[in-house]
Amino acid sequence: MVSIETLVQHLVSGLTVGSIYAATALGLTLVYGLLKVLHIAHAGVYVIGGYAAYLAYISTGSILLAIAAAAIVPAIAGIILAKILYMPMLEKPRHIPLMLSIAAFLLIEELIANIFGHHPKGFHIEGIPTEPIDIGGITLRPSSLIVVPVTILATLALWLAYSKTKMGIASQALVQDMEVAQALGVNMPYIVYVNFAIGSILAGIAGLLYAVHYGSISPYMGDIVAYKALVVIVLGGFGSIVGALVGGLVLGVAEEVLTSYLGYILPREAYAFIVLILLLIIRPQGLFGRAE
Amino acid sequence: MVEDLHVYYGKIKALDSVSIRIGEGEAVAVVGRNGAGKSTLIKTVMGVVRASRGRIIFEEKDITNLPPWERAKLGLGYIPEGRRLFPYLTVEENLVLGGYSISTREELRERLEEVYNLFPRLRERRKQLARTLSGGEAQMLAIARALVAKPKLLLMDEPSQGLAPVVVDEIFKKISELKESGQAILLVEQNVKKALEIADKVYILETGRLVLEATPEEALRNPLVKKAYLGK
Repeated sequence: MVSIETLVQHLVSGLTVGSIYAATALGLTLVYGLLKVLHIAHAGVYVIGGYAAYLAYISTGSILLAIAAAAIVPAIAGIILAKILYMPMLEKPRHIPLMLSIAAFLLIEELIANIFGHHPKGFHIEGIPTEPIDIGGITLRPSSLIVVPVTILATLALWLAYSKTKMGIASQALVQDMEVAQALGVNMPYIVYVNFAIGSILAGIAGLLYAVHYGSISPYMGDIVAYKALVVIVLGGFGSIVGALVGGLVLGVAEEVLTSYLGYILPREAYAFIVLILLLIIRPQGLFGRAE
Repeated sequence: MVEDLHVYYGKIKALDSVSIRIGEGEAVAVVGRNGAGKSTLIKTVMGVVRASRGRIIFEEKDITNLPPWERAKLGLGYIPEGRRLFPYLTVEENLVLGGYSISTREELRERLEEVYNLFPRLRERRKQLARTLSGGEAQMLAIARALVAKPKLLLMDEPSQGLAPVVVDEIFKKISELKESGQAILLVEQNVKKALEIADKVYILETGRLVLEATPEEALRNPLVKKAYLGK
């Protein structure tokens, strides 16, 4: 028999993992909307965020500096990737920047592995309790109370910025008609870089959230994110901010619930794709996508 | 002013040594059939298509190598073929984008008021998504969007396309009012009759080459024009 307590527990832990998926998928969805390219190297930016926060934290012991590092370093990395990988390839068929992006992702992973070692590094932030806490019979990891709200707030802030500010409206215009937006005065490269910076900050913060939740970082922590963030933006609908959040959370919860009740008949990752395939059969444009 | 402009799409030559001149406050029409290169010409002037040879001079400044957003700032306004509104933005957001290069909020407010006065129907629909507009309203919005920034030269690509004849009349009435107010216009049209009504000068483009430069009166008398473009 399924008890309410265990179900809620699975939900919370699914939402936590899903938040990390969502936070990384947000950047991906922004970039896809603008450049129509799958920015696989985004998962590398996420790893960079984790390591930047780790280095800042072990050398200063300041959580604020760790957060700043998880934001600033990825932002710079994202802008550099946009500048060298994508902007010169705007006119090329879309598989060319895609291949470059995959190459860049592998390069980032291996560079980090070579510099910092292949093994995971323990990364515990003092002040965040690691012992599970009990709330009305539901056992929670305290990190869930950080990871989930941070992601939801970040998405909300991003959505507001996107729909209310001049910069956001210009981004939407570029997504809808790049040529005309430029002809009306929108400085395209500038807006692209801003979007990359914002998306990369979110990926960096997601890298830090991963560390907060699992207590460690690894050069290969981006592997799973690399394709799961893709699943998330397909689920949520390409280019949709709310879709990335909901898609991430749905995927996290579905994986968690399916693995707990069906066990590992299939690997956890396979469930992600089953969810994806089922949804695409019912709603090919994704949860929040626009039917073309 | 456009000088000796050549444009290629891959190996296909779309424009072959085209030179046109638009004076201050002048309305110039370039007419011709589908595929004659009219759109290519206007897109090259706007900068969304690159010239392979030749120069584009705007107010004594060579803008041939400037990106489109810089040209917009200098005072080029663009009304693309087929309207190309931002379908998932509201009417007002479309207009705000038209005023993208305006730096102060007050000025933008003022400019929006002015275009709403020019096109009252758009004011009623300001909160609607652009995709919900009718063809005529959409064309009005495309024109209004280009006017927000007070362009010195308005580039219009086939404003009559896909519209019912009464709507075309309405649109051309607006264009003629704009011209009367001193707006310089480069109009590209398949609807030769309508274009001749408002233009000070007309060029005929055939497969990438200019074959005639004339006043509308001369063009109307020209037997070739009568036969090929006015069906008489």
